Amino acid sequence: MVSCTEFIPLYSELFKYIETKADHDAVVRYWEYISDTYVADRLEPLVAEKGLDGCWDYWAKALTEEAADFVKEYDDEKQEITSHMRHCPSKGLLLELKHMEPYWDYCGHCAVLYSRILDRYGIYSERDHSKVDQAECRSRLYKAEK
Amino acid sequence: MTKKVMDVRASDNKYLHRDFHASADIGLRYIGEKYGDNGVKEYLQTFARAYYKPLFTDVGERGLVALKEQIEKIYEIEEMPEVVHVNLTDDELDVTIDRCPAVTFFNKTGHNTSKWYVELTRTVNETIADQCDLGFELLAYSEETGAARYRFFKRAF
Repeated sequence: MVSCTEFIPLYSELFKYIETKADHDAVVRYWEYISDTYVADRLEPLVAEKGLDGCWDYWAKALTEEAADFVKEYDDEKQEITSHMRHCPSKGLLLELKHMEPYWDYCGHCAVLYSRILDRYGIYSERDHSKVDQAECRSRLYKAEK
Repeated sequence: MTKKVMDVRASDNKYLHRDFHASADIGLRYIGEKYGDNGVKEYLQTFARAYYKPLFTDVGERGLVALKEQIEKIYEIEEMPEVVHVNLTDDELDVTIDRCPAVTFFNKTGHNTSKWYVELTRTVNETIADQCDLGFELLAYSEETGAARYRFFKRAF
């Protein structure tokens, strides 16, 4: 067994392995696969029942367990949640490992994993990944008509 | 109008996201179904050779005790130190795991463990042993609980 704290490098190497065997599109298909087969079971019931409140609950639990350093704001009048990940524990851990390189598009999985589910409920996302090489990112989830 | 704010520092919480065990297993299943048993081995060998480099150095300098500490640390992190029993001699490290924290989590949450999950014990430890010029033998493994017995030993050749 590897500990759950060792999962992030295992995950990063998985993306590298798939890209070595095929290409980046194959990695994106893997992200779609885990979105459909795993994330959907956990996120979708919350979103289906409570909309953006469900998103709030989902990330409150996940980011707490991951010991993330972040600030989130939920404005229910605007129907939007903004998030500033000041230090992503996953990317931060990969950057700390000086003896191995993170997968070049490691943070790309965040955009794919959740949007496939949220889109179905009219919840859209915008992401700013310009500082992911410092383990920092921003995102905005908002409710809108298709 | 309601405005909620959640402002959390990393130091506010312990890093222990057990869902990652299931994510690891899903990755193994995907590779196994797409690239076969050898694909799983190749992926985990590549991971272990890269990730455990500092451990190989440590074992080279301090011997089997470094492996013993690494294994015990895993179960401390998982908050189940009582399930691991190790016996260290000059030439051998014997390890018994009463039940695997990840498989315990799978059984509790209903996750269907893949047949490749054992490779996180077998292939990863085989690779670590090989990189440290040691032998490794998986003596027993229960797919139901993740209970395991294995040993690292100094090679006789």
